[in-house]
Amino acid sequence: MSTHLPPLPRDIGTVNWIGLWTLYQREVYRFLKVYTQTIAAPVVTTLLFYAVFALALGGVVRMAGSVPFLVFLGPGLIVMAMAQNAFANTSSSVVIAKVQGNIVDVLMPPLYPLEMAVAYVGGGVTRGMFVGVVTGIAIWVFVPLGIHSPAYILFHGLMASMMLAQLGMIGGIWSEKFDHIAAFTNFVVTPLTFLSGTFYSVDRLPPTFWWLAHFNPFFYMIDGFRYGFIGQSDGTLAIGVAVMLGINAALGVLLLRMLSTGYKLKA
Amino acid sequence: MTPRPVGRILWLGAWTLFLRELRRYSKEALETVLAPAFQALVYFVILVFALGPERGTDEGDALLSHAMPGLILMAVLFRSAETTAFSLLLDRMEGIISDVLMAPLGAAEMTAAYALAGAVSGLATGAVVLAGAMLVWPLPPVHFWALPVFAALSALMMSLAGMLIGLFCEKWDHLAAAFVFVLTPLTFLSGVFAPVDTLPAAVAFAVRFNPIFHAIEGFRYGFLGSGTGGDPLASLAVVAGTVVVLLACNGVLIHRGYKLKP
Repeated sequence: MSTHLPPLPRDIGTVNWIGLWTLYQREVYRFLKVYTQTIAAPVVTTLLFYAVFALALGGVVRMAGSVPFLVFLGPGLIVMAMAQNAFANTSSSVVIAKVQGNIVDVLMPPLYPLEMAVAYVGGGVTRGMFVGVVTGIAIWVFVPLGIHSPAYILFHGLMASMMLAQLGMIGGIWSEKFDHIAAFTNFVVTPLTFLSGTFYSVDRLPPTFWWLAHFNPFFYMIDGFRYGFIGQSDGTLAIGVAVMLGINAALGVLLLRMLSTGYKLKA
Repeated sequence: MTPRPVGRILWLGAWTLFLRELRRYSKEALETVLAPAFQALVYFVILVFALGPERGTDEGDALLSHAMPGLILMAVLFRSAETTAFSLLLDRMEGIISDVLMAPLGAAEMTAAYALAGAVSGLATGAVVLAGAMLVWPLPPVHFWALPVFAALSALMMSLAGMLIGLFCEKWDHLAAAFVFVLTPLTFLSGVFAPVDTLPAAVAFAVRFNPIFHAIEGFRYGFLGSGTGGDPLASLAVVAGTVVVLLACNGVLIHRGYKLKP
């Protein structure tokens, strides 16, 4: 008589690479499918801001430090678009899945919190980088931007996208309905991206705000990214690098904690 | 059983539809009132901060005084269009538009109810933004009459434009595209922040054919007087004319049941 053994659990190894890759791909296809809204729209909006603020402020402040205002404004707008879109990708994905209930499709498979986080945040970072490259090319057509240090551009571009993608996922998990994430976007993320030095050098700020800016991670993200283009920065570069690494690590810990306890995700 | 007489105009029905639309707006006050007001404040703060050493000088003050009316009216314009566009598209996509089509409402009553609700919601948001603006940057109006006139007509113009968007679009992507690729550029390039003279000559010329430019120009005339060089009566004529044309378009489309009835 043959012995019937119960089926062995499928061995997926230490890391569920297929699951991780599949979830990442879904996150990327999600935004590529509606590229007019996720890539073309941010590019058009960014160019509009570029035109409008260049015209409004160009007359009064022709130079920002030693560079023309137009060259100063470009990198700030690029990283702002990257940040906002990285945030939009993860936050919308999580909130929609929660509201519609299909978040279980992600919770049921054998994915560790770390794998889930990497896949989602990776999707957000990919969208941020996509938007950054396309916006950068679009701006470059009008005002050629020089590149001072590709390393700083890449580092701060990646860190900015990652910070906002993580923040988007955290915000998405915290939100119980669309109103919550919309409020978080409108009242927290948008003002921080707009007011942290995209449109002006923080040296122009009144003293109190100038002091406050140096505690704002968004400031270091914009400042460091801009340094990569114009070779001129408002803050200390090393502090900027440290702040970006620190804030990403802190957000990562918080995100993993939320995922492993199932905060607002599991019953 | 004789049919219930409703008279020439179904006032009750039109009023009820109007109220429903307004409640949809006020129910989401955080998104529909507070968010636009906050957004206007953020734009204003950007300008204040960016002025740097020019802050407090005549040149700097002139820039802020120029931008303020534009920011207020922009909130009115967007809210009016969003209210009607979202409402109509949502009703059509969810199929609940049949609740409105089944009621004994004619095209005129339906158009009026949606359009007025959109305009009133835009004006309500605008009033909040105006109140906030007066706290941050008090600006005494020079020609007071122009403020309510231009605000009301522009709100109506945009709520009618929003209705057309709500009727033409098939899904949310289309609506988002209409706002991002059409309405936002038309508004941003109409001198909200900076005088249109600063635009390249060809663009500055083309902008004069844009009714949104005339709406902003007229509203700004109410605050700043004729210093900007435009003719307020010409602007008034353009905005009023656009309202009439859009009203006719909406009336005809709704009467024919375009994308509403099978």
